[in-house]
Amino acid sequence: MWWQLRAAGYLFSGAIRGMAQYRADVVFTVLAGMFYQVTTFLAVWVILARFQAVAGWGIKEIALLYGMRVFSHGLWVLPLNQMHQLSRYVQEGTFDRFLVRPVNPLVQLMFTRVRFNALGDLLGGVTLMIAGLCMVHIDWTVWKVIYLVLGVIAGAMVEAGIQLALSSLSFRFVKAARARYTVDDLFNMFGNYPARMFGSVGMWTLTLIPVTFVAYLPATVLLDRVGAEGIPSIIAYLSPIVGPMVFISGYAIWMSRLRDYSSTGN
Amino acid sequence: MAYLGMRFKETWAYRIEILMWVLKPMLQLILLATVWRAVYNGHSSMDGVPLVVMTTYVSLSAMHTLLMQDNMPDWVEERVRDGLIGADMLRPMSLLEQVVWGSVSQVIMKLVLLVFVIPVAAIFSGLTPPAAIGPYLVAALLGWMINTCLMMLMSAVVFWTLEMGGMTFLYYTISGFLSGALVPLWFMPGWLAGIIGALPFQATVYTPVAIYVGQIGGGAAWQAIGVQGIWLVLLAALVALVWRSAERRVVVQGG
Repeated sequence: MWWQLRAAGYLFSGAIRGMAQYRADVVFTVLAGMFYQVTTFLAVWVILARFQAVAGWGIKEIALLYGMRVFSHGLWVLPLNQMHQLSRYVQEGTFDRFLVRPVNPLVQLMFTRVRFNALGDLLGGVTLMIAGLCMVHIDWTVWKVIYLVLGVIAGAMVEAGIQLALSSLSFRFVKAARARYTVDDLFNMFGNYPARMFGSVGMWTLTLIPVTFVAYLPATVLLDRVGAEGIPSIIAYLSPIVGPMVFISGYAIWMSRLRDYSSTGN
Repeated sequence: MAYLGMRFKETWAYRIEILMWVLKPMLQLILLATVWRAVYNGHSSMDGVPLVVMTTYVSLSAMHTLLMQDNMPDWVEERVRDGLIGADMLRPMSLLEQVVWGSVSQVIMKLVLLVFVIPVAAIFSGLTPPAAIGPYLVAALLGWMINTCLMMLMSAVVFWTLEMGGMTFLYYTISGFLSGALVPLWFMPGWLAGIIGALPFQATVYTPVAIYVGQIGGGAAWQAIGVQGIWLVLLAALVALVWRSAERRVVVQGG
């Protein structure tokens, strides 16, 4: 474990030095990421400026939900965004190099190169979440503070686990990255809205996928709306447990697919 | 024509990926139709706009957005970086024409793919027949042409920076909102609709779709088409200007 961390440190500092050449590009992509979150939220804001509420959620509550979702998203993308290189590494045979080194291949994948694009999501998400928290009325207790922190981390773990499992398809299929992007789109689009609006069939489908665990269920608990949303309260309260569960399963799938991996033979 | 065939083959090589592209507009139109149904909250009409107009609007705007996404910036970036642009410039056809034919081959492919999107739109969102078919087709064509000009302007940036980076992403983000694809201009606050109305992006998606659903009708439709025409002339002139100096830059670099 200790060796893995040290190796990660070495790789990371090397990657940082490599990236320093593209300073302007880094700033630009961070801004682009932040701008993306701002404009998509702007669309919701414009709708709610005219119609006040969607499925009983006003703009303040949605700001909180949206902020938590984007924060969680940034939290997993920041360390794991190099997943998108996996297809290419497998295709070019670069991945074989990871396997002969005595460091966990996932750690190598994460830190051989780094990108800070997700900082934009992180900053946008935190800002929106804090704005939401300031505007809504929450009866704060110590438990709720802990719940908020755990909820955001668990939300990141849900997405990371799913994406990790899907990325393992790249060991078999060259074009598998597309499937991952489509699922990411699904989370980006449907995760930011109160799921009740999709009707009970839609809500249960999104809970199974499990989109609602990322932000909707934790936000519902924080806002004391569990009863009003028509979800069994046990599922809502226990939502932070689902994060680690999904992440561990995702990692297990990734490792088991890795065992079946055979080089493209470069 | 032979060149178009070549670009077709290039596009055809990516057919599986293009097939995956249609999933995003499908998700988008289902999501937006749900949002609008939820905000209408059982009312069949809001501000004189029937719900079915809104669901048709989001269906159509998702399809138009799909038609306007194009790999032109990536293509130009790759050609410039690998130096292939030098060989492209030796062709008897101008560089600009080659880029346009590339877009034509993609839009034809995507028009065919709409076969998959239309039933999804009809079932999960809403799709009424067009209020005025003639003006709609004219506006749709002009909208696509304006978008192609905007893409060409953006792609030209690579001749100076050699790196598109987040630029393409930023463009899609900005145009996604400013084109009216997410929220139609009639539901925007006055000041915002004023700003967006003065920009060319709304002429790409909002104008044709609003004509389709009849929110812009009669004489107003032809007036909106006139505005599109003015944008097209202005942008096309700008494209010609920018690309001429871009091509000169390639010569300076030595290809």
